Amino acid sequence: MVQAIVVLAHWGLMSEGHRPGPAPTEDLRTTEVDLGGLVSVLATHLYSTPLVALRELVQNAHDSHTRRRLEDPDGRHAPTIRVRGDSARRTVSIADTGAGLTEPEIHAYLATVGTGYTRLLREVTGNDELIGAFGLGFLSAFSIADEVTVTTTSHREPALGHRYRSRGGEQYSVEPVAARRTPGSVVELTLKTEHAHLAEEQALREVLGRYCVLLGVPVFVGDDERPVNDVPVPWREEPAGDPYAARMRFATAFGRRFEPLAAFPVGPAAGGTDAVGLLWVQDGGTYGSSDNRDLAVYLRGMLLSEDARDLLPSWAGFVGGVVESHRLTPTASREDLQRDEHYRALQQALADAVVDGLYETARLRPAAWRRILARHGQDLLGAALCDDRLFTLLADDVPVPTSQGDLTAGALRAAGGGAVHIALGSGGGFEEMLYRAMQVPIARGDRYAVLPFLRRYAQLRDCRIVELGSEHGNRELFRDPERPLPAEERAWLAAALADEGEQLVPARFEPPGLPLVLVPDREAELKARIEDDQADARIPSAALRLARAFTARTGGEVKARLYLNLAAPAVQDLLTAYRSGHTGAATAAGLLRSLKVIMAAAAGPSGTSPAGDLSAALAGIGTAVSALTAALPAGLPAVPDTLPDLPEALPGARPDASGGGPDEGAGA
Amino acid sequence: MSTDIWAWVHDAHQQLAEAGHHRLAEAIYELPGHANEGRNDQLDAVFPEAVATARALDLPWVEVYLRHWRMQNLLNKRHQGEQALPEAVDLLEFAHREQTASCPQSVCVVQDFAICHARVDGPGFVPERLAVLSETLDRIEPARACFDCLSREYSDALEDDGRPAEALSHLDTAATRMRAAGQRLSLHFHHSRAGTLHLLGRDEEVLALLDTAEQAERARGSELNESDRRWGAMLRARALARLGRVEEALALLPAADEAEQHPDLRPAWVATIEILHAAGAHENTAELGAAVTGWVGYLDATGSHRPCVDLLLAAGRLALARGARTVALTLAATGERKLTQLRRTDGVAGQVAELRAAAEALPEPELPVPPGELLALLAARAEPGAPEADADLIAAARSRYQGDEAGATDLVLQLAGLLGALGHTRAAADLLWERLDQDPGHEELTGLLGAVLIDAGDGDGVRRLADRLMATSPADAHWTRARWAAAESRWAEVGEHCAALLAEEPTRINTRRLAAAAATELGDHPRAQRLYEEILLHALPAEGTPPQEQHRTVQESDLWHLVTAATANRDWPAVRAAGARIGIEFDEPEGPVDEEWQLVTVRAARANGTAADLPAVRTGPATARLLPVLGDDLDLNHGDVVVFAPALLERPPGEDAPQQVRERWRPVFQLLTLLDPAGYTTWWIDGAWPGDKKWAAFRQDLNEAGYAVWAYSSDEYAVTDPKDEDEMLPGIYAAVGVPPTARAAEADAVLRRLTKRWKHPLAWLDLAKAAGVDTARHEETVERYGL
Repeated sequence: MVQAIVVLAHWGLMSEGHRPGPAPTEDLRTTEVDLGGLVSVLATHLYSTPLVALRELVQNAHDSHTRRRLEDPDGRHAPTIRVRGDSARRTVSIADTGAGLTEPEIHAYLATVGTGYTRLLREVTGNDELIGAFGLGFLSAFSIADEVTVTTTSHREPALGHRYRSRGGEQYSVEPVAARRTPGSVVELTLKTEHAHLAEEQALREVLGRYCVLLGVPVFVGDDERPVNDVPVPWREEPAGDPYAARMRFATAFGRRFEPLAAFPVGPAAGGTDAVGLLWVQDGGTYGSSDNRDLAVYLRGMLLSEDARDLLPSWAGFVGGVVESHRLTPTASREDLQRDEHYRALQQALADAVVDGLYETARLRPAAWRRILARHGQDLLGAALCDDRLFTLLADDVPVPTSQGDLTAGALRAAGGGAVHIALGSGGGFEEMLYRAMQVPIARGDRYAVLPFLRRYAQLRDCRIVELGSEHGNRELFRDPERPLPAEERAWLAAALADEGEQLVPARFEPPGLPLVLVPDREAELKARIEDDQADARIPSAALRLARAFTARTGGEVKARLYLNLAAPAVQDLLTAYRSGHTGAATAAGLLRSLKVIMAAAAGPSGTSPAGDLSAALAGIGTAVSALTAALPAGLPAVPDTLPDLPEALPGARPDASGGGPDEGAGA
Repeated sequence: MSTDIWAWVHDAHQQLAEAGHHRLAEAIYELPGHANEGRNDQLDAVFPEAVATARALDLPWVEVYLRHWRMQNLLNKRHQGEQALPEAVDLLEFAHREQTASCPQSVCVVQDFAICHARVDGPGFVPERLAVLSETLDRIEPARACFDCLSREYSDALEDDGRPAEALSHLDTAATRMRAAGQRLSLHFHHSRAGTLHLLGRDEEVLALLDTAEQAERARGSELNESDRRWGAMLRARALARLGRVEEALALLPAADEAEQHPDLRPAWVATIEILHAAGAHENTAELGAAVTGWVGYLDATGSHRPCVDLLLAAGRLALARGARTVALTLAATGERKLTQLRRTDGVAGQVAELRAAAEALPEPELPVPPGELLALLAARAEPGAPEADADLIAAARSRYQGDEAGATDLVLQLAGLLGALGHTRAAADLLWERLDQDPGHEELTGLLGAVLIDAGDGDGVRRLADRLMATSPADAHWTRARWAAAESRWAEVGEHCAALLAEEPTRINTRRLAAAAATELGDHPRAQRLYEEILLHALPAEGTPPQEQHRTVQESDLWHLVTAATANRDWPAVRAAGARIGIEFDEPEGPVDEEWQLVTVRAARANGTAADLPAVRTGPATARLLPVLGDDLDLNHGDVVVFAPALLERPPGEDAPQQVRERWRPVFQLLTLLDPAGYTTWWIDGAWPGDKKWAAFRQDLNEAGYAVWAYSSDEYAVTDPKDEDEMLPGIYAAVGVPPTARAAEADAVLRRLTKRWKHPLAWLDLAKAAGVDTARHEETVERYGL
């Protein structure tokens, strides 16, 4: 690309010099440039697609009309451009009814690069409708054609006709031919084999429909009676009927990839940009990708960039649009834009237009707004974080993914009893178990933008946020008991329920049906991993020393906390039984202990939880059941009041119900 | 070990995209940019999902990569210290497991770990940081991008050790080695070198270096990002300020709100302000002091201990320059507390001591009145005074005060309030805690301390306060807990604590207000009514009660709440009695209140939580009958009588609003609960618009039969013309409310009868199914009209 620009600048200088005068037409002349080199630059570097050559030729035809109007303001001429394709002959022709060329003009403008009458004219007249800029337009034809002929009659010499003909562009001839019926030119390309498909008229309709949609001169393809660019442009003319319907029609006609859900205008912003156009919210998105920004930029009516997505805010992945501006400067390829202050002003204006448009839609078109929310909820969550106005608009409306489907933050809050619950982890763990039991919807904090969105929502709406999986959030779950337990009862419960490394914490929590829950201590887990001997081999020693200095600060004795729910009837009954010396207390405690182990095993992957042995816990259930169902003579206290020594029992063997074991659980 | 991180990133992106994991693939590209350029919100948006996906796909390398970049952001952009340490250690361990050890970013994680210690206490950890970094530098080639970062970090450690010249030569040696290995120096490297040159007093070179580095960057075709631009301006402004080129410095200095937004900018920004202020080119106001103090508090909270001390020393120097004695002393006290958290205090301990000495040397203001009268004097001023000067006055009064404890406590309360407003949140809370020892029973003291702790979200502090109050003043303990629970919307607990409090002090009014609000939130309207009635019972008479006790008299809002609760409980005599006290005139003197007042809007919540504004006729002070026929996203329907909270949710339009707006305005009230369901069932009808006349007749006939209808489609709604598929007919989509007395079959018959003569048939497929009649004609209508 850089190379190409240098070449152009060079030829731009050369073109300032005098052109040789017209020479005998039979002579084969040499073009003023090394076209072989240039054409290859054009074909391989400057333009991304051969279609651009077509664009350049249509644009020349358009400029020729403008030029005619400037030179002959009173003349009656009906401007049209007609493009024909002939697949059989592999030709494409572009005919205009514009100014046409005299023979000296052919030599001056068709055969030189880096100038072009168009640019000269624009500089002299200041006319903005002229599109061409680099004088490259015509020569680009050689990037797709083997042979190019131009048959032309100037409006200044309506009786004369000339035909320029060149193969490859390096040499050309000009011969007199019969004058055209009306002044103007027809450029005919004999396409290179690899570009034969361009001669299909249906393809031409599609391409030109997009390129020329904003062009003032009607562009016809083949024998069509309707120009390809007859879609009314809503920001140019006062449309008949509802302006919104007109915008939607244009968006539907233009947005090829997606149906529009809502459309809103872009107008010139004060002091910022002259750009006008239309933006719309697209329906749907490409699977998995949220960035479907799609912006076409037109300069003086001609498509300049099909994918100017960077002009749209990065969060607006669901927006498509068209804008036209006179102030933007194209790069040499005329397919991209220079990032200058006009570009940045337009970026700002478009961001504002998207936000304004969404506000308008929410206010005036609730149905469209609901569809937008349903379609683009996730993107909008992220977008809201990037723009404060958007956040205000979306805070109450946009759905958030939760464990019970998509809900708005307000619904989440209402269902959470005034608090918004968010799971930070990607599932599993005791929190999820707890909340599954409570049936409270939990926002998926591991999904895009959910966590920061809800944090900000909580700030804005002044509500509590419970981040499950964080230390603080977990503390939220467990309330202090109404009255502290006597130390002696606490000791008995700890001995009966807690395994080694577990600290018993009397508390109250929802739901009351859940008697206890085991919460692993993350710091202790980390300490264990850092202080493990294997770490020596893996972690560089200086770093490991420093890491161990950190973990040495935590004791690590408490590997998990066992929260006991004093609000649970099961626990209350257990305590009542213990206090009254009921012989079943130890059996009941054994059941709860087994429940703890089984739940911990279900909640987390094995090995991370310090809870006791799962098979022993299962056996404990059997023991308790058999103890509870043992047929006993009335009055005999034969139900064991302690846990049998399970770990020493044979795996799978049912401990002897009547035998009992060491009084390990007895604190009474 | 793979050597090119970016090649790996590119491959990983490609593979994820090809496997269909587009969002993670995108995140891999986006995340470093967000992290590096300080787009914290966007980083926080992307990160949790990306990490969860990487874990779910079992991609530990990707996890290391993502967590590393976030860590960079937390440390370098947000200047977190201790706060980030557990994650830094965890990540260090994770990045050195078998499955991650050869990940190219494991090295960077070691660097993160070193940076984290630099944030906590850079000078205190110099030997450890140097050891970690040199160990790592030895493992890698200068051609790797990490060599650049690690070298910068190494030189930072040397700077923290007071060896800037060595730092510079370390950077220059590293630069030579990287260039020899064909590696380009990053812009960050040059920024780092510019920082070292500034430390060495070589500010002209700073400017030259920044120019060449940025030019080189642009020559490569890479645009500077926002963060680079900001830093370029910041480093230039600081150098220019010291060179005495204050105008140029001021032109480049980032605005204060940029420093507010980007914690990484703050130290250099404050340093530049100090230079500019010394040169008489920048103001030194109490607001500036409060902003910097806020940043000190931020570093305190994030556990960036040494940066916190450095910044508070700057804040202290500025306070001394303003002559703000109390503020400077408060900063000195914060400094003394922070020193205990540092491993190495040489250099700073002396400066903190100097700050205290200089602050104490500032003159105490003369008291215009005896200390005990100062607060009255200050309160009587027409204009509020300058907060820093007021703080000095009150502090002086406090030190000379010799009256009763309550008076001393009042001075502390005022001082704490001022310090809080000046950004010293923690110091203000400490002051109140301290006072609590002397005057444990002071209600306002515990009230303010509770409020400060609740505002700061300091749950541990609230618990500590409540536990402490429990022994001496259980009522205050319960009140503190109740307010904390209310601030967190834990309404059941609010009720518990209020009940406990009322058991202690049965005449409390505000406690009942809070308890009643909590009961309403929980839908316990009988309890709410009882509490409001007790308020009437225990309230002081309006007349003769001094202004400061006015909150203990009956307020109009109490009566409104009572009306609402009693309405929800259908206690009509109570509604009428309370209504009469507000001045409501009822059409009927007794019985249930069911009148026809005006059109209102009741705001209800749909199943998905969005608000639905429902037109309704107000039938009493807190009741309304709903008009629309509603879909199943609402638990309400036509004819239902609901209770609403009679406080306007939206202000009426002003006098100057356009007439149309004023005329269309209706009062909007929040739905509280359903009182009397009318039992309507909704069925949908759809099809071509029959014309205004036919529709009006249809509506009237339905109404007369006890049915209701509500159109949902707008003027834009159109259906396909069965005669010409390209043409559209205006359409109608509406809900028909069927009364509980009518069965589906009857409803079907009614609709059939009423639409019999219409040119285009309507479809009501679901109703036909429920009625058990032939659905073929409805299916056909749906098909032909494209419904």
